[in-house]
Amino acid sequence: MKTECAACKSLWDDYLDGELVSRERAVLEAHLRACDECRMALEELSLAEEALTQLPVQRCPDRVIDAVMHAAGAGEARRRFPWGRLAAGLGAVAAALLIVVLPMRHGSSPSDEELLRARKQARWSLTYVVQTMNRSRDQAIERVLEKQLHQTVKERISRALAGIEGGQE
Amino acid sequence: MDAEDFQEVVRRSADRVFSHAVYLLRSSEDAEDATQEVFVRLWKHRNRIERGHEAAWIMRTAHNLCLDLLRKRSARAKRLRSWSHHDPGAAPGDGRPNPQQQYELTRRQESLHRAMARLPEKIQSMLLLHYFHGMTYVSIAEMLGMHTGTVRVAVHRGKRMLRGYLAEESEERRHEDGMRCMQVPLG
Repeated sequence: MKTECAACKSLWDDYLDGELVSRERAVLEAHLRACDECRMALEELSLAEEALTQLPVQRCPDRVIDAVMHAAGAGEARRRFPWGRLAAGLGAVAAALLIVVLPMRHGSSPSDEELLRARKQARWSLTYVVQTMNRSRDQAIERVLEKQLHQTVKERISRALAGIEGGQE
Repeated sequence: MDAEDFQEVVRRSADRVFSHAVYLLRSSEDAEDATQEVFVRLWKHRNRIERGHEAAWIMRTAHNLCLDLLRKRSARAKRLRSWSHHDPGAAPGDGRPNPQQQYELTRRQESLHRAMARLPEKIQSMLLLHYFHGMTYVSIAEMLGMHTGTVRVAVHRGKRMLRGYLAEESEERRHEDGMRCMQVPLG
């Protein structure tokens, strides 16, 4: 490769990026007029750029967007209220009651041990239901505060919390 | 970001993310999965993303996710093969090209896709970010946490490699055309 060609090649990228100063551009263009090899190579480089720029935009299928929206919506619904957990808790309460009621309907009273187990089960389940509801209420309040509190108030709360965590207050 | 903002962001950027994934992964199915994953992550981290920075976050995640997926795919040859079955889509523009133009366009695009597939994956992604998405070197560098000079050098290097591969493709096409002409019966 000739020295002029090597010098010319080193300027190609800046030339295509439009970053050459006018004097350098003039030198390069003069060389391109005289050298077929460099002109063709630069044309190819420019065509490669053009091809990349003109790649067609691919349309994202609706099913992908729908799936994303569904996933986000389902997440939001779960975050709003944990119906599943509440149902599980209530189901457990019902099951505990059935342990007590079913034997009574068949004319036999439940044993002390069964009663104790059912009572324990019912107490545990009710506690679970209450805890779930309390947690949901706290989260709901938190979300409302997060959305509606003025930014300044939020910043003050954050600063105060940071102070408490840092042991300053 | 609330649900409404999220929907708006998804609708605005879905095609960009999907295109980036299609051109890098060379599989519509994988691109669909990657696009979905980008937006699921966006939803998951929505409270940590600064307002106004969603677009950069999305493209960074798409870039990283696609590169991860490509790294996991060890068979490079499989990607090259898969191109011949993938329809890169219609060309932009109002007028429909005539069959001959369409044929040429498809051949040129196929050459480009094959040439792109020979580049290192990170460089492919950077070329797409710069030329296809129209991002500046500075924006790409900020987005990927790199120096602007590094991005510029990578893009220039990629472009020169691409030019070389395209020249090879073009030579092969000329050779194929020559062979076809010789096979046409005279009279």
